[in-house]
Amino acid sequence: MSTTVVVDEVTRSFGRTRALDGVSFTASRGVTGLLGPNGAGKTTLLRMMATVLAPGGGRLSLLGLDPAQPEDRLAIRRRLGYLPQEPGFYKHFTAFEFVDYIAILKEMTDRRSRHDEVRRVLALAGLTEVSGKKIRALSGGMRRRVGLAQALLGDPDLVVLDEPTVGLDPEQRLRFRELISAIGEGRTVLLSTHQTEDVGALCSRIVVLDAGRTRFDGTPRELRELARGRVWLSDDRPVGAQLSWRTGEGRHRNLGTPAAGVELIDPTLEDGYLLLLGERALADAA
Amino acid sequence: MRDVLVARSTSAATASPGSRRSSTVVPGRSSWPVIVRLAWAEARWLLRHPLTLAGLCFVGFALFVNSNASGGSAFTDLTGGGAPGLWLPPVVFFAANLGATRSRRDGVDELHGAAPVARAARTAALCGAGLPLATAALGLVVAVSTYRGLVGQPRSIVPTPAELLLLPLSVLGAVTLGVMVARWLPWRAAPVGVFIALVAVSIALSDGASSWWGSYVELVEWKDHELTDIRMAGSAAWHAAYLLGLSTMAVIGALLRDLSHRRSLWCLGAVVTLLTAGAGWAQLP
Repeated sequence: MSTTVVVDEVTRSFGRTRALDGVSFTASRGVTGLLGPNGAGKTTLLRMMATVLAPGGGRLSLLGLDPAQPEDRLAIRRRLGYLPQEPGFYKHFTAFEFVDYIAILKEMTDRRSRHDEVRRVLALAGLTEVSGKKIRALSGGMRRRVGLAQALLGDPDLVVLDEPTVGLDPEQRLRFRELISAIGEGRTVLLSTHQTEDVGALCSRIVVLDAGRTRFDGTPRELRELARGRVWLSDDRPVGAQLSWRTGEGRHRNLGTPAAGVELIDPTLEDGYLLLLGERALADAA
Repeated sequence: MRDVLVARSTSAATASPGSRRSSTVVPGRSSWPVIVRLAWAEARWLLRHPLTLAGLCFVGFALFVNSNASGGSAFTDLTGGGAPGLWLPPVVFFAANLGATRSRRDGVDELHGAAPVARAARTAALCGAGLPLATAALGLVVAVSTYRGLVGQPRSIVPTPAELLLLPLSVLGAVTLGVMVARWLPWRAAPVGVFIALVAVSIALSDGASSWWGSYVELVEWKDHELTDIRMAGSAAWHAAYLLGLSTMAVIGALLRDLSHRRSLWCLGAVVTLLTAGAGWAQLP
């Protein structure tokens, strides 16, 4: 399988803050998840993937092209779909008008075929019924779907989604998962999220960032296995656990280094993530 | 803390340029079809903006109400001494400025930044959106003139083509100036400041022949229902050329903010400025 994204020792600073400090990973066709606590550098990295931010150092290759070169950057943008973390909307536009406007910005000049394409992506995002509604009248989840619809315009080869499921109710998140997994079948999708369940459900590959560095690059199974033998149940809160909480069944689920003879259980992706990042992730979880 | 754990792909360094749509990558492809489409989209937004609608309705109403006035030239009669016509460009200036800054206000710049269409093309489209609006203004003055002809105005006050173009060109200039201000001074209060500065300049130039540099309005003085004094304007044709030059200067000024290779644009701007100054001089009475 050909590699479509190469991130090699990429750095980026904002003033004295080192947002990315030598991040390296690769991504191929399928859904790749970026996980990390707040301030890990996920959004900075995705903005670079979307060609709106240049790396301070290192090498970045997208779709086999160099975004530092103007001609390559243009070529990448023609094959890119991007949903920012906080996508703005022209709230006086209808959903159709907004996506149509973005379609023009994606160089779709033929009116008839452009409108067909807009209708197609609105249907993909489940927005056909509300396509004539003003965006200001849509709920947060609906707006998020409008954002996703515009990212799918032109059937892009590389789709960059920054926390697409934030603020969605469980039903909407499931719809999103269904849609994103379908998108990832034929192209490269980079997905940033805080939700380990989304990553587990969607991603064939996971990259964990922490403090601007790559802490893990592998499969969901590999991340989950990091916690193998370090998750156990007990009736009381144990002393040595890094994290412990009382479950609905009245028992304590514990992460850390277990004492001998405890009741070990199968770890989840979240267990692996929390144990990988240690105190920072635990602070986020708390 | 645990050590860095990276399960790296063995095929990491083999990025493939191949893609099913790589043939669409044609660097240097003309942006004009996109600019035209975008300009239409921006024009629709501009024409539907409450400021523009209110301005067109007010000016249209005022011109029709004023259609029985007489005593000055065609331009004076058409604009009622200039007053109704002068309302439209300022409101259009503010509407165009709001249009050019709305991507920033609404947080859409991030999406625009990832699109293949460059910011300069969007700027050109925003300026181009003034053309349909100027056409609407032209339609308005032609309608008023036709109506005046139908109700029996003397032939002597039928406006010349140049006089008909003055209001549309003022509208075009207002749009392009609004875009230029948005590009160079992207702050909320900036258009108000620029507008006040323009009014101040017009007032400062209001004495003598220099007043025609600021505005093209005949001053008609009435006393006891008698016309006592008319300060005749200069050449309407040269004034139209002057307005067109100012509009072009504003377009170039706006584009200068967005383009990285600016030498040729500076040269063009210098030529247009000279021609505009010449037209401004030639328009004087």
